[in-house]
Amino acid sequence: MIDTNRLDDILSRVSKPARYTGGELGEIKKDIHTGMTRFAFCFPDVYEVGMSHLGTSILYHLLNTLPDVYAERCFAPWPDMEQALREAGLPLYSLETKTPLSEFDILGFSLSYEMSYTNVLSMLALAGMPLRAADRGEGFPLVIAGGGCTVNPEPVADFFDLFVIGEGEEVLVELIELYRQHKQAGMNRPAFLRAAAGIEGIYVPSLYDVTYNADGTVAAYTPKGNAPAAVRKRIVTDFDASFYPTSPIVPYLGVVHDRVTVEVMRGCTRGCRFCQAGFICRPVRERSADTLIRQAQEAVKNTGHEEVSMCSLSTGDYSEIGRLVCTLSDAFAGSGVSLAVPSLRLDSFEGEYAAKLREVRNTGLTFAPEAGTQRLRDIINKNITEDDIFRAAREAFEAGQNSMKLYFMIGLPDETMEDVLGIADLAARLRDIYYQVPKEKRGPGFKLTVSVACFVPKPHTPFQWAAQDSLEALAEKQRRLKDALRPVKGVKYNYHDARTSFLEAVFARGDRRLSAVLEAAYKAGCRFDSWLEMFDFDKWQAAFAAAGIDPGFYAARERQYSETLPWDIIDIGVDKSYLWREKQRSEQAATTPDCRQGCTGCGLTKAGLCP
Amino acid sequence: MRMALEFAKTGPARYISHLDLQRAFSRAIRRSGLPVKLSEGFNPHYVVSFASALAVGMESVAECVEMVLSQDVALDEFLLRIAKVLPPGLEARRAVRLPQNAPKLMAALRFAEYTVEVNGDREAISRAVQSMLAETQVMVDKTAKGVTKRVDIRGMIGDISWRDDKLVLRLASAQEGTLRPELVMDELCHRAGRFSWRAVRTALLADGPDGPMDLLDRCRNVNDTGRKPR
Repeated sequence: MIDTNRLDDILSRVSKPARYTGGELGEIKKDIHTGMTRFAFCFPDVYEVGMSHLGTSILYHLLNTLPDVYAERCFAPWPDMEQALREAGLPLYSLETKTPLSEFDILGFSLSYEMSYTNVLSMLALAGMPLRAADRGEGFPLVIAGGGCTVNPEPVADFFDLFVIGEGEEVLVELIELYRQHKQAGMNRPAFLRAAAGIEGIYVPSLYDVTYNADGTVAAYTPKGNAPAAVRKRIVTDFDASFYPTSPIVPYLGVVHDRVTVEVMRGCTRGCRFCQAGFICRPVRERSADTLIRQAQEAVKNTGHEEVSMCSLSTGDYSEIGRLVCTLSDAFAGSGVSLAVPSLRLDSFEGEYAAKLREVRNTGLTFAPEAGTQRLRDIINKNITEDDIFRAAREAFEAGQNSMKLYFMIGLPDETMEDVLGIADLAARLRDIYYQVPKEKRGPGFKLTVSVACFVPKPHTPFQWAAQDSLEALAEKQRRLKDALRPVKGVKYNYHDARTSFLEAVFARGDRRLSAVLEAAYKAGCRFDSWLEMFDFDKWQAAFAAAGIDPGFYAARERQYSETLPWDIIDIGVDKSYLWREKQRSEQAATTPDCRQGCTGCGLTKAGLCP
Repeated sequence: MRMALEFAKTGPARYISHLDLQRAFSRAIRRSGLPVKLSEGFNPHYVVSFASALAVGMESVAECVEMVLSQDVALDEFLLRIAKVLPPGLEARRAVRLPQNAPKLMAALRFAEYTVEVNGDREAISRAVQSMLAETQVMVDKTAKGVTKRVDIRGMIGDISWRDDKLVLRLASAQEGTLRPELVMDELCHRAGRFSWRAVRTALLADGPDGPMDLLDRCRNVNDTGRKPR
């Protein structure tokens, strides 16, 4: 345990001290006994972000159901706290027992976005640990990671002993059991890692030699010993029965998603070609409405939360959405508990639940057409038509709404300026529709928010071979769109910093050589790079220069089908040939239907992952 | 039905901000199932109002909050049910029923009392206290929102006395003005030589017929005296 008097002294000086105290309702307290495996969930962002992460919550409570495992939490300290810890000579510690991270058996990092990588390094450094796995001896905790980013773990491969690929519920328990056995027998780290590589879903990067071609592309991954040629992701087979925490921790601080989140479904059948989650989270598995209703009610009873969110990649596709929403909205009537149903698609609701669904959705009208023209929507396989958007908008305006939010991307493959300006055209036509609705029906004052992100090509998608637009091209598109939107009154135009998307593209499709860049950026002071006020592009550019690496090689280069991609080492169950076929179809603007209407042969069935 | 609750806020819970405390109470009430009234409007929520905001980092054994019940609940049942659901660090201590015509706790509050553990020369501190109380004006630096001003705090010091080996500060805590204990302690340090100290809020007080008295007792008995406090 760290010196808590010195900690108290620090806490009275830093911003939001409740980030660093623990002690919330629902926190797990255990008596520590010898032979216990101590696991620290490390989230490389602030408390408010990490505590909103459902995956971490599930695994934290799941591991704590095991009598011989104690899982605790740690979040990245904000720079003021980082500095205070350094000045006080205190190491980074777990919230539950204030134990220094270096005293744990296993540190498990959650990697859900690339721009959190420098925080991983700052957390390891604050724990007093060498950053690279190769420099950490037996005396240090095993450092592992899971989460969405691990479908291409290569840019951070040097920092971790192993990665958990796919859904963690089953494989993490198997891994910890293996760890316990090896520890009992006198831990030999290399022997343990070789054994761990035998568990499906475990990737041990040190068991592969990577060679490169003269042009900088990957030549080959050569496994050592019995390590598999590619590591297959794990999924939970019986999702309906899989663990869900109905007594999650209730933070004191207002966190980003401050509510009960029930997970209605994993995976998505739509096959939008830009969407990484849509490919890596396959296949679709639903939880039954009865299970969800029970989980939501229990969780509200245990936490007292005022909101329940129904979460999935596309909640509108959930087969029992009507019954689920209506039963819960009746159950919570008069108790001050509201329902949130994000990710509802444009397709209008029909049947007995339609009225109620519209009522629940009333909190805000948000659509994601993603692209400004039908041609480009077909290219990215976003199967939404303008008619869908206009019909939904008219209905909403007639019901008395006046505001709407639209999400788009620019920099999509094959995009022309006409597609970009199509976004402004769509906005103008929505405004016309608003004014066509009689004054006494529509809400006062047309308000449209147009949010435009920069496209980042991601591994394991049909666009994984694509070049990202240059910073100059993206800036030009942003400028032209801004000009085109200016005459459309009532529109608020939000756009992202293209430089962040550029770095995201580098690290999403990077290889092991990027670890040198991350280390240089960390040493130059980069932290919390996804936070606008913290992002320092100059430092990043210097880090690339210092490591002698051209970021354009990763972001702006179009790959050939024959190229060995760094993330080929990870097998998500979808065939590379299927992704290539989808890429070719996109070039003809040919759409691929939702696979609920018939198997499109992505490879998952062959892999035994989809019935 | 108006109900008031006295509670302690200690340990890590002392780092909860006032806003977070409101949310924590709202959730505790939902967990308790007590018939606390919800606000009207689009986003109904439990209406709880606190007598006073406590500075982040300060511990207290005497915070007060009031709420309205839509149906009657026996006092000890109310206390038991709320005690069972409060999160770690918040501890229910006492519940009282407030008459309909009692003022809001916030409006009746006049003083907050802080009990301060001091680590220094008691003689010197005593002399500093006496000199301060003897003066008609005590000017100190007060920093708010990055601006430092010279202010007179004497009028906001009700009393400073010893209870066993701890200092008890009775300081203004009212809508007209609130004096934070660190301003007084810093001034005492200035006069007596630097010493370390640790304060806990130990009472909230209203004006009573014979001087300051316990806030909840005062509001509970508003009918007995036939007039509103203050």
